[in-house]
Amino acid sequence: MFFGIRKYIFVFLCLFFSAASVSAQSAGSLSFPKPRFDLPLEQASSSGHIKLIWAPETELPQSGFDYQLQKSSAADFNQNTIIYTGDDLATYMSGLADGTYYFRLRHVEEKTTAPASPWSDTLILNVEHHSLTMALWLFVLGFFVFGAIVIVLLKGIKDVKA
Amino acid sequence: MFIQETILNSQLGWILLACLGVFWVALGMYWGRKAKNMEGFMLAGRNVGLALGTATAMATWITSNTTMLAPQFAFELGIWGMLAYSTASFGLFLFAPLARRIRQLMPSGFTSGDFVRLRYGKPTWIIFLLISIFYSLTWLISMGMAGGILMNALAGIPYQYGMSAILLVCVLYTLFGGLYAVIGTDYIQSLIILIGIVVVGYGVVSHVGVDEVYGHVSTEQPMLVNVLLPAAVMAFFNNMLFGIGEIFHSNVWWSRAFAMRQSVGQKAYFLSGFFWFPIPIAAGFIALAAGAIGINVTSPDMVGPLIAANILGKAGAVIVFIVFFCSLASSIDSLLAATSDLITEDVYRKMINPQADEQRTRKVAAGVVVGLGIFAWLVCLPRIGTLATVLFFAGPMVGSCIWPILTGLFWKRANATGAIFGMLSGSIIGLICYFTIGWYVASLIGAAVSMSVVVIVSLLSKDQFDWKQLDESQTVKASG
Repeated sequence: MFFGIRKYIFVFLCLFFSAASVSAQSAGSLSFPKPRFDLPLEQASSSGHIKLIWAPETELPQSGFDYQLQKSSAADFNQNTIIYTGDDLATYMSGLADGTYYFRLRHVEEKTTAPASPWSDTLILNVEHHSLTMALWLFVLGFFVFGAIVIVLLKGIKDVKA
Repeated sequence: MFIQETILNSQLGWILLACLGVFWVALGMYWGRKAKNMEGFMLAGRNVGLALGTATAMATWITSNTTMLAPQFAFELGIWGMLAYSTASFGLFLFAPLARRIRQLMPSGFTSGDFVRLRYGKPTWIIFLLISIFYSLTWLISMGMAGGILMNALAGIPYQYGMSAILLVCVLYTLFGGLYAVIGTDYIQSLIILIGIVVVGYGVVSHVGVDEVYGHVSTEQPMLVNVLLPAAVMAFFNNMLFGIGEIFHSNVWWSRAFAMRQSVGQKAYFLSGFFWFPIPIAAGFIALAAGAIGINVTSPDMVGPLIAANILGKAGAVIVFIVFFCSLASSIDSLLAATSDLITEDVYRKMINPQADEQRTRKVAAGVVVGLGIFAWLVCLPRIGTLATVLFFAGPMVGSCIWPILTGLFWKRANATGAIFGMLSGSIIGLICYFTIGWYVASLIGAAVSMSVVVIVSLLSKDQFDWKQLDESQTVKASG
């Protein structure tokens, strides 16, 4: 019976400390509210660039924390990249290839970059570049127009000299 | 705004702005003493030599767009973007023989409007004036915006104050000195800009190598090194034709053609294109280095000055500030002077008061300079859009002017019907494409449509224009 009580006490202590640990983590990450993007969460781009803007948290202290922006090609952020950490309220991204990109934002401690808030809602960016066929046709058209200008100019100069 | 650390503190920024402003206004007053009459005020006595001619053409074409928009092109469209921007030099190259032809046909001409009026008649002239003045205003507004953005990015001077200061300085010295002041200050500004670009370019390459820049861009921004990036492929000839259209039609360039000595114009424009060509490439490379250096870009039109100032520290930031001030001033003064000439000569003297004497005309010209400055200031205040979207809105309109001007100077069969419908159809269809596809195709479409209309109408016509009608030497000279 004695050993049975110790077993229950042991299990209770394990559960207690686990709960305390989780509580401590969430108490730290909940010390700041989650940030939010200041634009619609569904975005599209036909040229591979976008300006991401996020809302300042005016009720928070002006220093001591940074924003951290994460990018991923997967909705669950399984593989991800931190693309910005700092106190700016926007970042301009360019040169993105066709595809879907996921972005999320959180606060981090300025010096340690330890998480200081939950992640924001996810912003989804769909990049679908203009048709290359159309682009090449326009390139050919431009070449033709430019060539015609040069020809008319050269002919005009020649006629004037004559 | 979006918080981005400035390199210069506001106090130093204001001191620099004040010193440069006073210096430029003083120069304007000094050179303005030469402007004894309207021909002196508007055309610097028609006696500008090769060195000044080359410098003024190059400096005027190095605008804040070159130092801020070229980096934006590179940052958004990559390698093709850089090259696309540098094709704007083709406008200078191709205008060289036009400058010679203009002086031959119109030895007493004053404005591009004079040419269109004499060549095609009044209806075409009015449409041309609307396009030209609209373009001049959008360019002026983009310059004003750039001034505010620049001062804010480098020194934290609030956008509204920086924009107001740069417009005020340019209005003052243009008012006092006319084209003498504009060309004289352009010469100094072009030297400063060239030296500054070399210093900044060397600084960036020393700080981060080409390999490192390429490595970062190809990993994080892969489409920027893709030669088949569709937006960039479309932008290549669009930008070239936009530049050609700007130069072919704008009185900024025609006034210089009239101001230069007859034997100088062609050489000056060719040389200016040659010197201008590598500058957007250098500016574009600077922008591509942003990621490798670790700079967060919050707005694409700030990427150039931000990186330059970040790399070179405080002393370099001062150099950058001066270079960008010069690039802005060299363009704003030209716009103010040329647009004032166009409105004064074509609208006031030709339409409203043909009997106006020189004193009256000079007052009107001065009033127009001030009025343009105030208008630009009011429109710049809310800071709408980025530089690219503001300026390229005029793209289809200026693109549609290429063929009426080109054929008007060299082809006797070109006529008013072709010119009018060319400009109208090119502008309308180009603007539709601007809104439905994007700004990077609008000028190309405008030029292509205009070309088709002008050529077809001219081929169907039996007109044979008499070139002597363009010489108004008996009647145009401003009375005095």
